[in-house]
Amino acid sequence: MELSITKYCQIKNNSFSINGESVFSNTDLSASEFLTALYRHEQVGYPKFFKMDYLSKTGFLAADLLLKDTDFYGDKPKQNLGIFISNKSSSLDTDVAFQQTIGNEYFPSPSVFVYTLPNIVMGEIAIKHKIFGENTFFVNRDFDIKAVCDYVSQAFAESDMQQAIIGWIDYFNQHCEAFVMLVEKRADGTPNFTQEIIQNLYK
Amino acid sequence: MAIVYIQSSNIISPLGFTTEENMRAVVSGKSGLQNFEENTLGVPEAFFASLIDSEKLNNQFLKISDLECTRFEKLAIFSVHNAIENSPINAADSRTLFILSTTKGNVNLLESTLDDERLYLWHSAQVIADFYKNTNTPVVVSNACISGVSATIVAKRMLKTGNYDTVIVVGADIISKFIISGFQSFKALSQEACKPFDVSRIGLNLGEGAATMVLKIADSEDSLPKGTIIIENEAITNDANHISGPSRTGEGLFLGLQSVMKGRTVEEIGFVNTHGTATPFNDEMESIALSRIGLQQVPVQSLKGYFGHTLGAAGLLELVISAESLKQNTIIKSLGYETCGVSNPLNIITETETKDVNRCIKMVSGFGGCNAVCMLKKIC
Repeated sequence: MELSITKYCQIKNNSFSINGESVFSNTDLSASEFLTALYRHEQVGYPKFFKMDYLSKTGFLAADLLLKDTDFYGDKPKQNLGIFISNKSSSLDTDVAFQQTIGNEYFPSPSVFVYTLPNIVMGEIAIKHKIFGENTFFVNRDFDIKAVCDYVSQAFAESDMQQAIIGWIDYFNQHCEAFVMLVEKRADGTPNFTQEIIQNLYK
Repeated sequence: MAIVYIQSSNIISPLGFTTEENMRAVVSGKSGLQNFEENTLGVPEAFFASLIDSEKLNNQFLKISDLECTRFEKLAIFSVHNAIENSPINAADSRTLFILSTTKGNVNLLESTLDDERLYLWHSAQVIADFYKNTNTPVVVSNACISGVSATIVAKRMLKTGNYDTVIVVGADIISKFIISGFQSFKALSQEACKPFDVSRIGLNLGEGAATMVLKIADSEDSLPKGTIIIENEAITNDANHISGPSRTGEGLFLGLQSVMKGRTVEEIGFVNTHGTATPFNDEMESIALSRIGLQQVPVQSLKGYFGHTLGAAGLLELVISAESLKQNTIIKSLGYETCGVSNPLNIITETETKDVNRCIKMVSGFGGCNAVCMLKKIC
């Protein structure tokens, strides 16, 4: 069995690409406006999107468009699909927003507070696509590709996991970046889930 | 097959600054929970919680260092210090890795600044690793309430990659206005001591704490002394149901329990340490998951009545107490419980007593729909 990257998506500098090919971009917009524009352009049709914070919007869109046109899209229950995400800013963008509700005017909002945890983005992805598998959120200064490869390879070896969404999803202060890969354990797969190859794809 | 075991541990809580102090307090039925008047930590309303005395922490910390660092960093650094003191661990070794489990780190700094590197969780982990002169990039796991158990599972796998001989996993969170107001806004807090699984439970208490486990890898059980606790089996799952409410069927937790129970019989499980936050929904969901897997007769406890919910430390702290319980053949009373208040009755432990126990399950669930389950085993 080999671990293969079968598809990858990137959101960076107001541009969205699939497998390295640009699909949609609009540099006139702010990062948050770009996310809504991308949602509309791709006709995602998931009204819950508008309730999400920007980190969840970023990750949700990246993962949704990653799974689109694959066997793993939609609400067929998936027990053996894992999600492994890391980022730099944790949920700091929403932490700042929540802090503003408990200053001089004290009106803490539960709908803001729930997004003050970075792993909520994995929950949003899991809900949309009925993913029951492992989900772990890491925080790093930079995308630590070696650590991710080592850890996820070991997780594949030690569990029933067959596929995983792996990547970097960060949002803070109108700075938005996502890089997500679909990795599958396949007998006929190309063994391209390596540090060197990912380093090349993640530009 | 290589196995991962607990070399040493620490807990810092209002009940003590070592694993032994905390275990003694818990066995004698002491709780760290108390009432805090309005305006404590700047919170307008009164709250019931388990908070660490700052003066005691500062004084103890000064004995090891005069480094200027935040309350959160002190807590984590001091917990590691106590875990590795008197043990042969070399924290600076190139084959030692640090893992930090936290939900909010230094988030209290947002009260005075919006632009400070210390707000980043990776920065906190770096401060801890730097303190111990460890040059490997530390790992941060931030998975809501399951962070501590998640981090332990990450540690086990990192050891199994062969890249490390020792992983030091430290979990910590401090309680601030940010956290209390958030939980208050969810109407999740109880104004009195929490009552996990009880019919009159109304919510949780927050708790402050840090816990550390030093994990190592060995070729086989035979090479380890009797009484050593190993991380035998583990699973992380998602409910795929709701970001802030537990699944009505306990789906994710059930799948996790199913995974760790593979090849095991119910009789082999000495006790189950639940998340047991004492919110109506959490405890109900756990009772459903435990019944579905057939563990409703096994002695069950929640430690929240002693420590409150210590967030990023909780999973680690509760794993450490569970490991001590196995070592001391003691099952600990679930503090605050009187009358069954879940639809699937469980065998809640109502008296702390001596009992031969060789295996236990630690389970936990959190926001984002995540669940983690770990099986600990004592080498006999």
